[in-house]
Amino acid sequence: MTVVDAIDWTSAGVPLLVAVGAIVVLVVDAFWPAGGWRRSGTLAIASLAAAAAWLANGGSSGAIVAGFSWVILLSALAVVLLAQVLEDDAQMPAGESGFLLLSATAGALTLAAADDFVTLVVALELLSLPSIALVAMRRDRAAAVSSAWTFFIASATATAITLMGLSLLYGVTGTLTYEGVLVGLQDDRVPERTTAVVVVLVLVGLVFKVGAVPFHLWIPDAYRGASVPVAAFLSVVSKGGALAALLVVLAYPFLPLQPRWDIFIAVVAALSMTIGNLGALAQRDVVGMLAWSSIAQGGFVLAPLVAVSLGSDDILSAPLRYLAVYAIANLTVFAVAAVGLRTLGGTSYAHYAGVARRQPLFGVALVMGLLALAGFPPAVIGLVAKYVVLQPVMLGGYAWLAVVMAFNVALGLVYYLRLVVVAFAPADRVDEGAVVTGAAVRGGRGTTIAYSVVAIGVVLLLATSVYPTLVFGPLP
Amino acid sequence: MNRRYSASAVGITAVMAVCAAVVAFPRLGDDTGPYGLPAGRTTTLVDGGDLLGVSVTFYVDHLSAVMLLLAATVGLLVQVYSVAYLAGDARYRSYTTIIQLFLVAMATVVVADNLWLLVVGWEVMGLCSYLLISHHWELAPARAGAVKAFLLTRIGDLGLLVAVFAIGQTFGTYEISEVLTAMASPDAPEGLTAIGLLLVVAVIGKSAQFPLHTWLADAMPGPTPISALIHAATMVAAGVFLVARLYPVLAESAVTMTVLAVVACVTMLLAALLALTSGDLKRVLAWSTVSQLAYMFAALSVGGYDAGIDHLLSHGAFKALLFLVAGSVAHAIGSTALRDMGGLRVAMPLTFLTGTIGFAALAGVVPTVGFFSKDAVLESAWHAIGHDAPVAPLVAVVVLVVGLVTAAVTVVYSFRAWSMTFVGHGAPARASVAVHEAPPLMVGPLVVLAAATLLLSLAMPFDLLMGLVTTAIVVAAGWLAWRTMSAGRDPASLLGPAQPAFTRELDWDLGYAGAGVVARRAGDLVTATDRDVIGFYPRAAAATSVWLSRVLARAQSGNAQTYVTVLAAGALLTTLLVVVR
Repeated sequence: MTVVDAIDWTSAGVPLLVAVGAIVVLVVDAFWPAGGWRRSGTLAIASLAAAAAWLANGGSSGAIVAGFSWVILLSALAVVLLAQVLEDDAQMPAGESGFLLLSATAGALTLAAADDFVTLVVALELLSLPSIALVAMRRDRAAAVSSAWTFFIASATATAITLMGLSLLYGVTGTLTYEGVLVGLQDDRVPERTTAVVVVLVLVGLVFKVGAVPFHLWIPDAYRGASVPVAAFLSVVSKGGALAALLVVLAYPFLPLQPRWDIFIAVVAALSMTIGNLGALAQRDVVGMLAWSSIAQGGFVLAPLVAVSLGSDDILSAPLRYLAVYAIANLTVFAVAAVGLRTLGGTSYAHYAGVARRQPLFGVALVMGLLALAGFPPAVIGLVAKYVVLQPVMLGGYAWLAVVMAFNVALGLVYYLRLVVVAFAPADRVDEGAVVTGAAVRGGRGTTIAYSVVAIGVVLLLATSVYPTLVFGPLP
Repeated sequence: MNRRYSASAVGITAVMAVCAAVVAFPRLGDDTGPYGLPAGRTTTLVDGGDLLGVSVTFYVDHLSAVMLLLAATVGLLVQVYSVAYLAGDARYRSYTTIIQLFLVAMATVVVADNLWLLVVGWEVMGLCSYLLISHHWELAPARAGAVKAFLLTRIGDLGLLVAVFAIGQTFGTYEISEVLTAMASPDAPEGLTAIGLLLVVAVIGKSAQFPLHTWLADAMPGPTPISALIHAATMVAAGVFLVARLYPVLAESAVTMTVLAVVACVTMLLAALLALTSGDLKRVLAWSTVSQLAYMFAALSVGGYDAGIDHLLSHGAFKALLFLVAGSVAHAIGSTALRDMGGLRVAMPLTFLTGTIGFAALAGVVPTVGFFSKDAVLESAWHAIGHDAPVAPLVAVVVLVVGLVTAAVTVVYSFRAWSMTFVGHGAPARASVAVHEAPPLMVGPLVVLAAATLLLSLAMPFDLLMGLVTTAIVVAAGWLAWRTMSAGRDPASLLGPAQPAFTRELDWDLGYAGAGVVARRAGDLVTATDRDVIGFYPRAAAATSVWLSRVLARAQSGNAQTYVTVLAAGALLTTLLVVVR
């Protein structure tokens, strides 16, 4: 037996630097609480930048993992900037928020870099518990606490199911490292049906974090209860970490079992798209719409996994490429929602009526962000991303899934375009049934910083729409 | 009028013209000729790869260079001219912007390597044409003409779209340079008649050839500089450009070339006769444009590739000149009807001089460029009779005869229009208005184009025999027209009893209207089927979706027990699904 306990500092460095940053933020805030949001944000950005520098110097175990780590790090950076908008909110403590954001990010990074199932479960918990705490942070709001509670219960159940699968897996193979499992599962003496059960049970925890149907019910509640930047975090960073782990697990230790799990992935993906899109249709609130839309997008990002066993590089990188585009588009729209909550007084569609006429940048951001999510020109990059995930599904022989995807692209267009129409229509012509409540506040410096996230997102979406290689080139 | 705005509009157009010149000049020296390996330079900006074959690629050769220079020069001159012509116009700003957009689209068409890119430019040109024809949208003829131009060119655009698909299917690529390479190789694809005919449909629409010829004359209510730019020199010539660009693909099939030759012959003579009978200076010029475009197609159909391109260039220069002259006249007297004109040579000497050069070029008088390029077209038909050509000798004979007859008619209508505009005593109604020469910004472009009409002759080929024949025709037809006019009769009366029919433009629009009624009936039927039968399914699906959406939202109770139950049941069911599979 070789030295398996030795720590692989190369891959551990990235999450470790973020985790150290989390502790520094907490300690600094505990002793010098006067610094507020600006200082906790600066420290968080510094630690994320250090992790990025480590990553740039080859700090990962492979190209795909490195790609996911980049998406997670940059999205976390955007969320930290976005969180500055919370500075006026007396109920949101700056230090704890920064600490929890960084801890969960470290969890997502570990999830992507994990090399055995024990690390995987620990990372899953490291991602989940701070996320739940982030949702519950708004102590004054009963909705926040109750949605954190359902989130916690559901998350614990999902983890329990995964642990049950892992204990079975250990019983079957006698090891929990990815490599050992890969070898162990090829043993003919293992009953096929047992391995089938193992695979599904293990995957439940990860699919839960991706937010796919039927493990999605926590998402709309959690997004609505949490503050907007936290919802943005859940939709991109948390989802990205779980997706990375899912891709690695399916493409590496579980690869021999593909004929067993591909139907699971296909059914979950198809259900997520359809139910997510149907749920979004009736929403008349930006955050509520984004919650359901993120369930649907989870389906799109899972779909190419059905063809993983074909083993070509294009197929392996398809989920990563889609995730990158989704992260840019989704964070842009969330940034609009975060700034809108402050300057327009709410996130319901009624607040957004005609906003594009008063604030052209919002208009462009909504058009580009929402149409990129829908996969519709002029946001060409969204269209390309849809093609990227559709191609492996066709190659993998899942024609019915491709049909479901095409149907859902059409369905998604309905509600994405509705918000675009609302934003561009004259205010008196929009009848969204809701009375505008809540006064618009003049935003402070934090709002300006969050506004810059909108601008950066717009620039990125426009640039990548003209030249898609800009985002797909650096990714594997 | 905002003086600074006009300066910036002209400045931007000038910058675009300089860019076009920088791209075009290095390629002017390339070998001309349609066959062989593509000699131009290809540039790839965005490689779409297998993404539906859409890439942003450019292919610049001699042909593109000629078209680019023509479009840029005429575009710049028109922009300068419009500063004075549209002074005080409320929509001057949008007008100049659309001209710039048009020039970009035209440049895209002539330098595109990817056929889809060409289609995009082609459609944007159509859009700009529509917008500019309806510049004076408060006038009913302008609106009607714009709609007609748009709809009739759409028929051709449909042909282009299908042709592009067919080319992609046949050649496995959408790059023009690769298509030309494939045609130059020994194992070139055969049986390209269908593609060729679809392309012919495309150019019939865009270049207003028979039987879609009527839109160009009805596009004349647009501002006159636009008629010079879009409806004489550039956009309508894009059809000729497309045939020249994909020449080997069309020339592969004798059927295609024969159809093109027949269309060209019919259009050539018909449009010249319509020009003879028209009572409006701009309509005369529009019909003569249709007729001259047919000359280019005729040259291409009998294998006279260079002659077709040369005539395109020469026609671009002298017809832009003539339209700007017409604009200058209209600016002075406020009308384009020939009966309102006459005797303008005294009041507008520069317009008279440049207009005379323009009409001489149209009639084909030595030593204008029109003489040389029209001779080249006729010479190529003569050449095709005895040599290997894309069409049968008999077809070449028809082209030659119709070309010579049309040349005679052209001389008569040119003389008629010139004489009714500049010579004589003038309409009595105008006596009170003081007519004066156009402002310098309008005369400048006239002088430049007149100089080009004379100087381009130096670049044209010359054939002595054909030159003598056409000069004889010019003298004879000119004498006939002069005799008729000096006897106090309109040369249109030479048509005898057929004249009233031509004055009504053969009631061709009634045919369109009849087709429109049939099409509308069919359309109503399809709409009713769509609404009541097929539409039921999407509507039902939409209603179901919305209902399901409400149900899902209601299921979001916030009850943790429910959520966990769903989660556990989901895990159980999916496990079962995998196990029993």
